[in-house]
Amino acid sequence: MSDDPKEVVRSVFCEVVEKMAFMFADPADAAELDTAGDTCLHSTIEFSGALRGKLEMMAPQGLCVMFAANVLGLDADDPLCAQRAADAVSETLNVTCGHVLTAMAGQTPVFELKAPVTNAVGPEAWAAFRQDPAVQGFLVDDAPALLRVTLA
Amino acid sequence: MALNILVVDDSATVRAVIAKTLQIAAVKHDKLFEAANGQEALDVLKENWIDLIFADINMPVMNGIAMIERMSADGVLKTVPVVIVSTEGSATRIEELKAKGVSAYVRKPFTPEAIRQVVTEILGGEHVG
Repeated sequence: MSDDPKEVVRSVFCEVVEKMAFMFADPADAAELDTAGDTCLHSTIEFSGALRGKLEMMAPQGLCVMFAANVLGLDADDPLCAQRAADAVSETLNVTCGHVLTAMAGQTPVFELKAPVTNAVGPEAWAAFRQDPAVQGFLVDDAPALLRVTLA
Repeated sequence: MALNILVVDDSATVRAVIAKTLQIAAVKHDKLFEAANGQEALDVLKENWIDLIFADINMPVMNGIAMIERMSADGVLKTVPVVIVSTEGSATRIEELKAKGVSAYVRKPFTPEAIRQVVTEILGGEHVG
């Protein structure tokens, strides 16, 4: 595994999405990813220990509902999927964070992970987030998603 | 004899996934109880006989480690097997948990085979179909 945090996040996120949600994620140019005006969910998890910082994910509501549908094994139009969309994204980020930390720091250090915090944000937040050079873009089954790892 | 199983995780999605995974893994169980944190789990344990617990570590109100410590101090509850299901991959943390009496550790994301295997290891093959 690489020492480059962005490369680690890229590799781990694609693997976690495939194993958890049975969806395929491919790296994409963040600056070119658009949500067509959809409301997005922005999830953040903070960690401390041998490494300190946070991992963030932003994705349009439609993709978050698909995460919930695939994780729960339900049709996307089941009302439960919309209810669980934020929870599913939080858990995806939580699992990604745990694996990123192990990949970067090895299996000896113990990390403390805070509970993920997930909020709805508008298209303007997406537009601003994707401009950050630290943000990485992905296409998850052709829907856009953005991730950013920040080390203190 | 079918098992009473308690799933402890602050994510309702994860609790639902574990419940579905138990079905896919053909783990024979009678009642499935849910709790969103360690304190809720202890409340369930006060009122119900539980044969096996699947628990997360990082939870609000009372985390999984504090729950296990409270169970260890109780003559009856310390005999209930606990399987930690967590995103954490620290070997140091896993050894600490085993020293506190945790029976097994399953890392997220998990497969039905992993769940089936820990149930078989802890309780024997008669509980899986």
